[in-house]
Amino acid sequence: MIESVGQSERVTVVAEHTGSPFTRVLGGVALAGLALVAYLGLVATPREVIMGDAVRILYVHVPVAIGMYVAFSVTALGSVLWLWRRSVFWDVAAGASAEVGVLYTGLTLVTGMLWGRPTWGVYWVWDARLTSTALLFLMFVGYLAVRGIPAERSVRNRRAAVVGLVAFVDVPVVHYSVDWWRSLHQPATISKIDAELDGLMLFTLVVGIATFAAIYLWLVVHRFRVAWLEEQLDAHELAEAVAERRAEAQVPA
Amino acid sequence: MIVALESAEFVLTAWAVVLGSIGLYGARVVRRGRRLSGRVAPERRRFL
Amino acid sequence: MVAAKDLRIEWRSRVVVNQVVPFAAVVLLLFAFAGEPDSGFLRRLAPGLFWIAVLLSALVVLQRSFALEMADGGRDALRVAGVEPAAVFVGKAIAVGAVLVVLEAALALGVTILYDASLTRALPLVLVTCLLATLGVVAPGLILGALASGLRVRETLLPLLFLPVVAPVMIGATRSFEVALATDEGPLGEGWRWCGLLGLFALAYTALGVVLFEPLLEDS
Repeated sequence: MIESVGQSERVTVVAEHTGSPFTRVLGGVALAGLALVAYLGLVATPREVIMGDAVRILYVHVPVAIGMYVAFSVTALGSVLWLWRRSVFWDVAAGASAEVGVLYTGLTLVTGMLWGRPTWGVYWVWDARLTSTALLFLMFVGYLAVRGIPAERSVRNRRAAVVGLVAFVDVPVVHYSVDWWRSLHQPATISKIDAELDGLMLFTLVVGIATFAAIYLWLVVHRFRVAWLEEQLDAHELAEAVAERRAEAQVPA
Repeated sequence: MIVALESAEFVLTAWAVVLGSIGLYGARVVRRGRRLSGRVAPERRRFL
Repeated sequence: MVAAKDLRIEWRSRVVVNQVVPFAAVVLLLFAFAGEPDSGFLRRLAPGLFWIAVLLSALVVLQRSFALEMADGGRDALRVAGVEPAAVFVGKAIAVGAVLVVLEAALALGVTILYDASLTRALPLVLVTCLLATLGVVAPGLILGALASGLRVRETLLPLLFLPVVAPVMIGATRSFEVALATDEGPLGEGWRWCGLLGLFALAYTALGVVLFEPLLEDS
């Protein structure tokens, strides 16, 4: 990064990345947690009574599913707060959380299907939670599509926030109606993702949840900073263009 | 009772997909962060 | 003021009805090609197919409703005239809703004839379901339609946003119609319970629409 100082130009070396002491510690914690969950989940814990080794998938499936809900809540909350308070922080946070959220939601679906194949025999039995997750995934994708439209920033962000709010109101209703729908014809035991966990298995799950929450936070903080930098760049370029235009206008004819 | 197919491959695939995609995404975000940081003046770089 | 705008839109939309009803009819026909028509699957699936046809047609109607306004600069005219955004929302809701109700009547006829599925046994349930489901489709549809209007990508964006959001309406209205269609016993309670869900949904999104239409219309 080059700054001009008086007549000469000097290359200034500043931290040229989006990391910080906080993210370094967070990252370290996340990695340690990941190692622990991997060891416990894949090696140390026993097989489950009914589903056998497939339970080991749940040690990642459940954490990313919870992370997905957290991500969605943050996006929804950020959308509401942006519409209400017009604070740029919340808008950027909503967008960052949505991107990580779409990742986690996709992973929830994939791990759910990979769990389903050995257990149910098929990849999909219209399990209530997976079906609702599929709809949530599409809503996230729609939200990100709106964030990407070529329009003025305030217009775009406001519309994205409206989508966030519309989705936020919808998700509980979707869950309830899909659940009710599936309960009409399915005996409760067969198609639900359910497991008997205790002792070490439960502990592994809890560690997994905490770890993937930390990973979510790490990803969102970095993504937030990237988005923040982009905003700064946009504003800077806009200011430069305006200044240029003004300078041109003032050149005497 | 549902017959459980051989689960090991599915377990490993699931873990690989999760870790792999998170890793790739994280790397992409960090890389983009580095590139952008270089172009923005230091005093306006960080909100937090 | 709202009524005047409402009537004006309905007059225009008489043209729309002449195109949307045939569209819905084509959809019904295409569904038949999905299987063996004599096997009875059409009759069994009639509730769901009915509502899918409604949702797809609603997309067309919503797109047109906002496209027309953009073309005439109608939005600015409204703002200059000092009409409150909430009134615009209600007016449009009545207009689009009326079009959809007419469409649903036509579809009911089509389903009775083509799929051998008569909805007249439990007429009150069917009517209430239609009203609530229509509102539940129109309210989020208008919010999302306003959101997508004016954008070049609106034709692909609106379906992507709209269809997942109205999934509960699809689920509820179809279940209610299934109950209404069942020829044997009497109990309609299940159907009315689904109507309760539809009503809640419609209420929530109508409230949301009234509130959100102001920020949405701000930036045209």
